[in-house]
Amino acid sequence: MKPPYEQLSRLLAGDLPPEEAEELRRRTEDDPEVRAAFEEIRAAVQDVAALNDVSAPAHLDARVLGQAPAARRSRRSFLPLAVGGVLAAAATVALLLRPGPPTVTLLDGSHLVDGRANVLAAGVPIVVDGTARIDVDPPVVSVSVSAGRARLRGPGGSLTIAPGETHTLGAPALASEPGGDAVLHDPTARIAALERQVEELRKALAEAEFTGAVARGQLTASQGEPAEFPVDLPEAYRQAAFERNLAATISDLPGAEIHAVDCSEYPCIATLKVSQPAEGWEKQVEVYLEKLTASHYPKSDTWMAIAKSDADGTVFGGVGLAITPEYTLSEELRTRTQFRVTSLLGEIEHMPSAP
Amino acid sequence: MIPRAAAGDPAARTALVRAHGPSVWGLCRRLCPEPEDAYQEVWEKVLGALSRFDPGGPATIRTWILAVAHRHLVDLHRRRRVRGEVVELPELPFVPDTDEPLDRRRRMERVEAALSRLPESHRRVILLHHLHGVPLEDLSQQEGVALGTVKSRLHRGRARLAELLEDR
Repeated sequence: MKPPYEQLSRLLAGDLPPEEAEELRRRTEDDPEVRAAFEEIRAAVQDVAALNDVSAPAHLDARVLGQAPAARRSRRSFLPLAVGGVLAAAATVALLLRPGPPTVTLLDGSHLVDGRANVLAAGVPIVVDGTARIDVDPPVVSVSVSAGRARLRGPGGSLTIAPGETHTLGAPALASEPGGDAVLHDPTARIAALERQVEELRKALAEAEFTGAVARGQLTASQGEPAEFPVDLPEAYRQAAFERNLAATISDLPGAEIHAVDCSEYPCIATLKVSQPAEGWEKQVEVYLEKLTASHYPKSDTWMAIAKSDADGTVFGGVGLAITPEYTLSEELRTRTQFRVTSLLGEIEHMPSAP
Repeated sequence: MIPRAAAGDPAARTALVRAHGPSVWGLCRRLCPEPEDAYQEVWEKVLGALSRFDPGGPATIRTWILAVAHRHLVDLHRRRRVRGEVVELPELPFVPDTDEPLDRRRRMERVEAALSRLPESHRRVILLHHLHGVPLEDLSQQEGVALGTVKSRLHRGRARLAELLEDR
């Protein structure tokens, strides 16, 4: 049996109730393994206290003191790290098209966005820089700004909403183009208008600069707090092994590639993109994922969402996935994980296809 | 020195950065994927707010600087998390003291490596408490979480650290 490391740490700090402390103290005397663990904690604490701190590189101190120009690096996107090195080329192309971190797709309902964020609400790209409430009831989107501003990007250009203003968009408004009814009744013009609309949406996505306001305003409010990875979580559920196992399993699944892996919070989730899915592809995906769990995650819960999209004229399938040790997710974390999976899946649906 | 540094005296500022830079740098490089940015940002805050530091108050300048650094690092961590970033730690260059015996140097390398595998919130509490001597009550205040949460992070972190080091 594994020694109770955490309790031993509490014992060392004097943080245990007297009876529990006495019991554990007895165990450290009787059980050499427990005693060794206790000594290891004591040594680790001493080691940390004796770590060396060294001076920062001289050029940094010079910058801090104004003796050198402040050549600070711009904040880079960590998305390539999130995707990792095992992805197929098409996913890399997608990253090049969308250099920023992901746009967040809002689900139906009311959302509070606080900060700077790019969101997609019922297909409408919205850039918020301030505080805004966004109600999504497709095809209607309503944006109320209480501070800062929000910018809606549509086929006819941008619309800025100032504090105190509310703007509601519906399907007819989004479809309207300069040229009015004539465009709507002319099929060729209509196709051209839609193509322009798609192009606008692509551009808006490519400009996406997500800084977390949605996650802070919406996820925290309605989907609980992000969870740390459990200390004793097996390696298979952590990013490197999760990606590796997933990549190995789908390597011969026709048209499938990893779109993204997000291990920024527990549990790791992933999305797969399946190009030109053949009939019955959903079943095929399930078979492969069963193979994955049988090989690497025998006692696990698997969360999967499947979507198919023919937006942009290209048919592809999307699979959202999360795997956790059996019976370990709380209700709150389960809801949050489902939201994360769905949200990440939404990115595939709105991802421009590779040229 | 502090009033002179607050007034912008270059010599006093240099002395301040030389005296406390290693502690700040140690935190940044052990807790941030972009330590150089974090280091500059912390010092911008410290030097910008120095006039508000009360040399006669309860906190020493060291404690105050560490608190500013700590709050900033917590803020950076939260921002990384909500942005959905996956943080990969940079290589931690171990700078050996050449007078140190080899086995001790190796042990410290192992401690650094084990620390880097802890969740950031656990690592932060361990470093600030054990390496820099910040009381847990202060950490609780600076992290914006209950004392029990800080203790829980500390003990979980220490437990994991010991497990990682066990086969050394």
